[in-house]
Amino acid sequence: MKTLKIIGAFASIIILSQPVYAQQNEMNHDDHNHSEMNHDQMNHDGHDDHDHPEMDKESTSNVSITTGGPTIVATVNGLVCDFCAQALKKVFQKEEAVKALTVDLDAGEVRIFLKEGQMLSNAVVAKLIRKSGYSLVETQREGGA
Amino acid sequence: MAFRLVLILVIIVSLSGTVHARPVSYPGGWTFMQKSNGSYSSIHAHYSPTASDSIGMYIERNWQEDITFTGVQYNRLVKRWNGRKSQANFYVKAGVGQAQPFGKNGTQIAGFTELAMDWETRRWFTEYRIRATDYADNQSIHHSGRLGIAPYIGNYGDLHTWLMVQVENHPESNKPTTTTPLVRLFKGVQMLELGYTIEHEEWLANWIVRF
Repeated sequence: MKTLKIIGAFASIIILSQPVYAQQNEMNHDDHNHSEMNHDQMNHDGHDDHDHPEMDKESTSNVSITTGGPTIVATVNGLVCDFCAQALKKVFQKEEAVKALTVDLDAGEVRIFLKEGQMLSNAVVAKLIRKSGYSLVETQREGGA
Repeated sequence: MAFRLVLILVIIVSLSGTVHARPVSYPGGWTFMQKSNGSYSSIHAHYSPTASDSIGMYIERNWQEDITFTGVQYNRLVKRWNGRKSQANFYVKAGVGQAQPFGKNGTQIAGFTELAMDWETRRWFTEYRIRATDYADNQSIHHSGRLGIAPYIGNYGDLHTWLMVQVENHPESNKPTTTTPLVRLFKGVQMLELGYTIEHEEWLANWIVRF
């Protein structure tokens, strides 16, 4: 009876992990880059009367984030889980100058999208990352940030 | 007792915000933890004014020692090491309150302290804890360790799964060393752990939500 309980416990654990693994395989976008899509080479039947805004790798729902103000790309140490991203978002989105923020756990990068005409110094970026509990390695600026 | 529990739950539910399973959350974050296993059931609600500190209420019904502990718990992230692809933490925790033996009137001052350390990457998780408790006339020290692996690495926002094994040592118990295989499911602001302690033939169920 005890043996059956042990086997049942391990079987339950294995079964619980399987469906999630299958779902993850279907959602893996690491092998292609949406930002390099060329409309001229695609079949756009029924789409000839309109154009699409610039697409980026993350998703089309982020189009409004990438257009507009400057962007700061921060390389951060210690990003090992979703909670890390949650903490950074919570801290940065309290800043008036910040429009949005995305976190790439694979690359250890944080993209800070600023509102048009707004600035955030490297010192402030470092302070906010430290306040969140992580360490800044370096920053790069795009779009005149 | 029941009134205190309801009051804590009302306070937690009335607060808005967003939620992960560490003893210290992000600045301004609230966390609610419920744990249940063959040794005890507990609830712990805490607020983190900074990324290094949290304070809250802790209530435990300990089946092995036949007492109920109610008190305040403070957690301190003493040191964090942020690696390029890893993170390690060292925590100190302390609680003080009152202990009431089952079925008896009267309470006594009680408390506990704990040291906890962990190291993790997106694939591996390790943790070690040592906890000393003084619940009325019962004093004890127990150790706990965990080793976990993520069978897949999800993207931000996905359902994350961890397979873990927890080994504990309670010297005063009739079965001092126990082994609990468990699965951790983590998505968004919620985390659920389900396991089974082999020696006690008891299930483990933990739920954590952050606000």
